[in-house]
Amino acid sequence: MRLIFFFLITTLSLISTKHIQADDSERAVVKIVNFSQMPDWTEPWKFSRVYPSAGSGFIIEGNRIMTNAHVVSWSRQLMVFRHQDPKPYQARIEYIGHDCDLAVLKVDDPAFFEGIKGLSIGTLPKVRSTVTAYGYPAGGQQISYTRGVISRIESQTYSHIVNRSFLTIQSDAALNPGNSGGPAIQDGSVVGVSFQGNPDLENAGFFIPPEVINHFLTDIEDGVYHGFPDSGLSIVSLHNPAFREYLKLNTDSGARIDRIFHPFPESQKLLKDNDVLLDINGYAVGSDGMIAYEGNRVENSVVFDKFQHGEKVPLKILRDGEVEAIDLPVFVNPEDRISGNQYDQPPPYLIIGGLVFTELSSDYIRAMRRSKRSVHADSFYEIIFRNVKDEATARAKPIVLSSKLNHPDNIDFNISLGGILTELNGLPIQSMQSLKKASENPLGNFHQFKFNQYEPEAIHIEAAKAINDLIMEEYNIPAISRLN
Amino acid sequence: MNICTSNTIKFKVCLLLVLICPLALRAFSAEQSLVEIEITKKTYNYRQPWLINNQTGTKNGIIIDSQKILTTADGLTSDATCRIRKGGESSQINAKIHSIDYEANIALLEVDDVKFWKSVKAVRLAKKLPQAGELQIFRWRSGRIEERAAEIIRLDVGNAKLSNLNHLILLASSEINSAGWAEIVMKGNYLVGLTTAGSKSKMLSILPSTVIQQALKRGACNQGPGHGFFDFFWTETSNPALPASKGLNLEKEQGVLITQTGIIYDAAGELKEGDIVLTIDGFDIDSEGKYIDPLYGRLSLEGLCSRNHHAGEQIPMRIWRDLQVMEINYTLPRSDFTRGLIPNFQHNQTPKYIIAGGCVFQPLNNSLIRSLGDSASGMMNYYAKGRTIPGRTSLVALTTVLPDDYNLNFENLGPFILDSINGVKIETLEDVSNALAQPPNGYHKIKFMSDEYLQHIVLDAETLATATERILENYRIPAAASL
Repeated sequence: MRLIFFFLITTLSLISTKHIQADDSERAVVKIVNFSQMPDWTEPWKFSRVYPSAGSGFIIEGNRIMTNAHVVSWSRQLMVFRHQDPKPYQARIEYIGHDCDLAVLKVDDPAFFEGIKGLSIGTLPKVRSTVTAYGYPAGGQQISYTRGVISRIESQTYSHIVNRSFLTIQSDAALNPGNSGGPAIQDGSVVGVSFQGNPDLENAGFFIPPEVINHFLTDIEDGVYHGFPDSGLSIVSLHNPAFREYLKLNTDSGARIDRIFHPFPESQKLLKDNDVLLDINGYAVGSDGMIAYEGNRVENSVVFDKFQHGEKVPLKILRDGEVEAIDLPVFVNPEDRISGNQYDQPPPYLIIGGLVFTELSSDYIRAMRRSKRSVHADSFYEIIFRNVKDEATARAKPIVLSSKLNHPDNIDFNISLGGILTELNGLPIQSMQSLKKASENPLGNFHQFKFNQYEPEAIHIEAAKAINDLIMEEYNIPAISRLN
Repeated sequence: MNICTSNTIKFKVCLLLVLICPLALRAFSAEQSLVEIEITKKTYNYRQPWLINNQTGTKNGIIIDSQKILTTADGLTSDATCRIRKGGESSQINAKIHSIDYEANIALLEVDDVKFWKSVKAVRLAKKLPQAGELQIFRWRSGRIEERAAEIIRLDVGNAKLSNLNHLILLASSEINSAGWAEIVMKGNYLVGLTTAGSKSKMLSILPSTVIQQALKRGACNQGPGHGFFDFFWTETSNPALPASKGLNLEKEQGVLITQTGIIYDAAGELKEGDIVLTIDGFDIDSEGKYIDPLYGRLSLEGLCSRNHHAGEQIPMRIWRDLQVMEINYTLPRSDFTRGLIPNFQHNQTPKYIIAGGCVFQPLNNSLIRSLGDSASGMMNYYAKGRTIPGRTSLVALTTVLPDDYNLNFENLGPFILDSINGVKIETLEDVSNALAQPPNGYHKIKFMSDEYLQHIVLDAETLATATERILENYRIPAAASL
């Protein structure tokens, strides 16, 4: 990070001495510097020191800048630089889609956009065709161009959010840190946004394709970013002849719905386990669960990902030997946020007698591991298997004891950090709200806890109040709770 | 006066010789008491349960009274071939296994050849354990006795090596390498114990002589009453607010809080979740779950299950329940490591399996989970940590699929835990066998537990037997089942 900052300072002193004639695409590519501050997931009132980082972006129509969400996440201050121009402009996030790793920025100073024509979004490039990636990798002050061949188009996990997969373009163009958010250009149009690499592959950089970019831009047209909806279906291959015969399938195509996750009440209502998915919005589903899309065989989810929150996806299914048409409404599932990386909202917390409670999340588990603390086996189970139980479980947010601020009256509280709070004062704990409610209703003179289903503990209510008052002052804690 | 004095001295010397002579006769001689045991046994591969290998290794044994050779059960199976080598002899003599107690980790061997018993001496077992000072460790290495020093670290209560039984364990530090194979641990002429494990930090775990004597007395391996254990979990009450929240007057009483009962067996109803145990067998229990042992000082309450009682006996307890003190008698259940949703230990058993249409079904236990390594499903690892699933006493997994046209599409399946086959709940391989005998409508419907990645598969029922036969032949598997 210090290295990046060093390059930034150098950039300011050198760039003004040179001016190179640039084409429209170059001029539309901007450098973004983000000063970010991340929350502490185990002691949630704290934030990290400020980190500077640099990425790329490009101007699109409407005097906006498109970039990756991860380039501008947890931002405290954003600065953007035009091509060959040392002047920093302040930017702000207008919309951010952490699921698809895209963001749109605004710059209030109209001078920033003067003389620059926004780039247009093209169509999905063909495999074997050539693209050029533009950006400011490795903190460099000059724009960089790398050319590559589109080697594969398929669904990949988007590592910014971790728990979602979307269509991705793979190329052998060299993409390095700092390229993120820059455009991949073909015939003057943007056909991808550089966003991630894969350390296990050589010469492989990945772009977000026009399908995902356009979905994001359409989504924000109404002034709100909803996100990519989810069908909640587990669709698996169906090659086995006996299983096909059992499902009364006469054709070679069609994949099986093995399970419907929670909380997807519409999917639960309209579909059943072992329904055979034959067609999604005109795309025939193969027995491997894939579809033919623009010359590529890709996951069927690519078709679902074309629809916006609340829209209906036309499906053809085979049930009990009969073909049925179903319009399946699909919705964004906000309940799965704890299984992915979370942004924008710092974690909620509530302190009772120096015991700090927060939501169990992937971020929390990662923070525990970073600090070399062991993670309770229940934590992984709770995060991974919530969506196969029932709707209430899928919507619940497990609460953990994330930290303990020691005081003589709580020092012997005999629960390991990371323990899941299952009950407080006789009430089941399924969210921060239920925790707050239970904490307001002690049993007699005590708050009585139960962790990990079986492990009891208690603290005297008067002691809890006194400890809270004391630790807020001693540890500079701004508030005893933040429930989001 | 002098004479008198002289006679007194002579008398004292004679008396001393009279006292010393029996001791001298029983003085420990490693060459005459310590033997090397060569064990050849079958070993199994849980990933391919039909494969049987064999393995030969050596460990130590010690001659005890009643013409038996004492060793640990670790590494022994009832059908193992054992040969004994005495000190100073190159020949090996066949030995029979008299008994194996996997719970306590002890075994007794017999030798029929009367020549063996000439010039051997039985060692005496210490009736009280030393708690500090030096020990001597003996073992055979390359035909010679190796003697090493050890220093006692502490006496503690811990888990037996091959079961969940709790008993006294002696911990010592020593420079000896690769120990843990029943090297004998002596204090003077007395056997203090047998080593059960060594660590890189030079710490030795020793199975104490007192535990060995109790185990021999209980004869768990010979249909005796067996070892008892506490079938409950408890938590410390070091935080005074916890017992106070249950109404306990901390000025008068201390104890530990019961958090779960009926872990292995159905709860007998003698103890309940939320009870605070104040005394066990007359010993006061403190807030950390310790009691003061009259011989060995402060020890964990877990040791009280084996200290003076065997399975089936009742141990009196004073408990705090519903704001009053109550007296109860806790009946010690028999320790049985083969029970539990996912049993911890498998000894002396060939792996069980059924192969049907290339699907390999196996009972789920910790040996199988360990052999699956990273392939084990998250659910398996979760339930292996002492969890329960209501309505299920054991589990069966589909561990692998041997690829064939019959099971096309399922080649990479599993390992998954079974929920049901053809609507029959699956807890044992017998359930699998019975369920496969009743296919409804010509198909086998296999359903996995809801936490698994996949829920359902369907196989053809009519061609199952033919396919199984073909697969067994193709993969050179001798039998479709080992039950």
